Formats: sequence, C-alpha cells, structure tokens
Amino acid sequence: MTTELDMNRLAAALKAKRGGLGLREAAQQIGHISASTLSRVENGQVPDMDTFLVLCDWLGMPPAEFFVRAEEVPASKMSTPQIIEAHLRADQDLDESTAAAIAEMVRAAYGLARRQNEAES
Amino acid sequence: MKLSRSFRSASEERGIAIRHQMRLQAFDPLPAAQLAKRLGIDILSPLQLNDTLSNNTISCLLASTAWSAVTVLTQPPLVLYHPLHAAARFESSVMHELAHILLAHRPEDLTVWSKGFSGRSYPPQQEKEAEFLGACLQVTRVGIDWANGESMCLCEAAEHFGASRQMMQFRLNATRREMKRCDRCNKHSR
Repeated sequence: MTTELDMNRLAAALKAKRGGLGLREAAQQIGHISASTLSRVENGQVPDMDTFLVLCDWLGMPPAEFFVRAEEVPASKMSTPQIIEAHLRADQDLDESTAAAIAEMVRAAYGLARRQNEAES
Repeated sequence: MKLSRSFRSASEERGIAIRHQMRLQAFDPLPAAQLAKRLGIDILSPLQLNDTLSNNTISCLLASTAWSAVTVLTQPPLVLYHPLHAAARFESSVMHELAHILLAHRPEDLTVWSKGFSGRSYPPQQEKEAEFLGACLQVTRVGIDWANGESMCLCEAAEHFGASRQMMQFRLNATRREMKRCDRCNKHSR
C-alpha cells in the first residue's frame, strides 16, 4: 500500500488557518516560504518536502495527517521500470551481478516501506 | 551549464535556515542522518534488510565499489547507502540524495542499468543543483567564516563538518574564501 499527499486537505487547512490574513503576511508568519509558493500550494501544487514540513509546523499538525492511501497497483501488473523507481548514485559501468543485487535491495526496500505503511494505517 | 546566482544564494541561505529550524547554530555540523530524521526520511543500509536479502546479495553489495547511495521514491522516500564507505563519503552521498528530495527533483530519464533492472536518472542540471545544495547543507558559508575565526586549518574544519577535504575545498571555491593549511592538509592535497 502506498501513500500520497492529500493536497485537498492541506490546501483547506492552510486557507482555514490563514483566514483573512493576506498571502504575504501569512508567508512572513510561516517563515522560509514566499507568498507565491503559499498560493501555489493552496491551489493544489505539491510542495517540496522542506516547504511541506514548514507548513505542517505552522498548522500545528503532524505531516502524517496529510498522507492518504493511494490505490495500490498489484505487483504482478507492475513492469520492472515501475518497480525500480529509484535514483542510483553509482558508476555507469555496473556489472550484471551488482546491478541485480541493487535491484533486489531496492525491491526489498519497497516491500519494507509497504509493510510499514500498512502497520501505521 | 551554470547555476544561477539566485539558486546559489538560496542554497547558501538554506544550509543556514535548516540549521536554525533544527535549533542548531549556523556553524554547527549537520549530520545527514540527523537531517534525514528531521525530514521523515529513513536511511538504511542493505544490512538492515538482511531478513529479506540473501547473504550472496548482501556480500555482493558490500564488496562493490561501484555504488554509494540509492534513493527509493516511495512516499516518503528512503535512502539506501553503502555501509562500508568512509564517514565523509557517506555524508556527501546521503546529503546529495537529500538535496534532490528537498529540491523536489524527480528523476526522469529511464536508464537500463542492466538486464532486468532499470532506474531513473536526474537531468544534468538537477545533478548540478543537488551537488551544490548538498555541499551547502554540509558546510555553510557562515561555518567557514567561523572556522577561520577559530584558526582552524582545512582538515580540522573538514573534521568539524564531517566533510572530506575535497568537499571543504569545493566550498572554499564556491564562497571565494581561503583557509590555512597544516602539513597534514598539504600532504593530502598532493
């Protein structure tokens, strides 16, 4: 089971907290965020993680409040590129055995993340 | 491929701002593991997956010098690292991956690394951005000035920040600052 950010909920929480305060004043209050970034997030654009955490701090809400379950794609229907959604910091000339080992490690990490999400839900 | 002045300036400020958010001084070291925890990102080595990975796989991963870190784009992401690398390389590798995440980069170019294994890579411009931001997160400009004020040499400052000497030199070049060198510094620069 994967999770995604509930942007509707985040946007609604931001607008509710901001109330009659202007975007610029609210951004200054939040700190480390511009008025334009705040506006984009309120209109549904997914923030980067740093911004997301700052917003959660301002809202006084834990980040996990905004994570929701995404519809899981059965593993059998995933192609290899979908499973290996990872960025690899490595030499270009990976030998076959190392590449296979890394693939197995990434799949194991996916499985661990999935189990952790299920345990938390 | 140059980074804009605004990006460079924002990255410098970000290294300081994150420290303040974490109740650290601008010149304090910022271990990558500590930043990852703040961001809610797990960092794992293959040894922590030993209930799932075969011994052969773990041995192969540990023996390999070809990889240093992998960011798995789950929600939230997690970073896998090579556990046998020197501490400074760990800091650099993981901080680089955290920089990609902070910049909300998404790898785009599908790369077939090997038969049955495809990964995605970031465009060169994004790699350059993460390299710069990662370095700013490791060593702040204020930190360099502080280290100079404390009469630290380059290798002492590197130890303070948990960075390599090469990383310190990269930051000195980026901030157009200099730092004194002791015999140990000079010995390793040859």
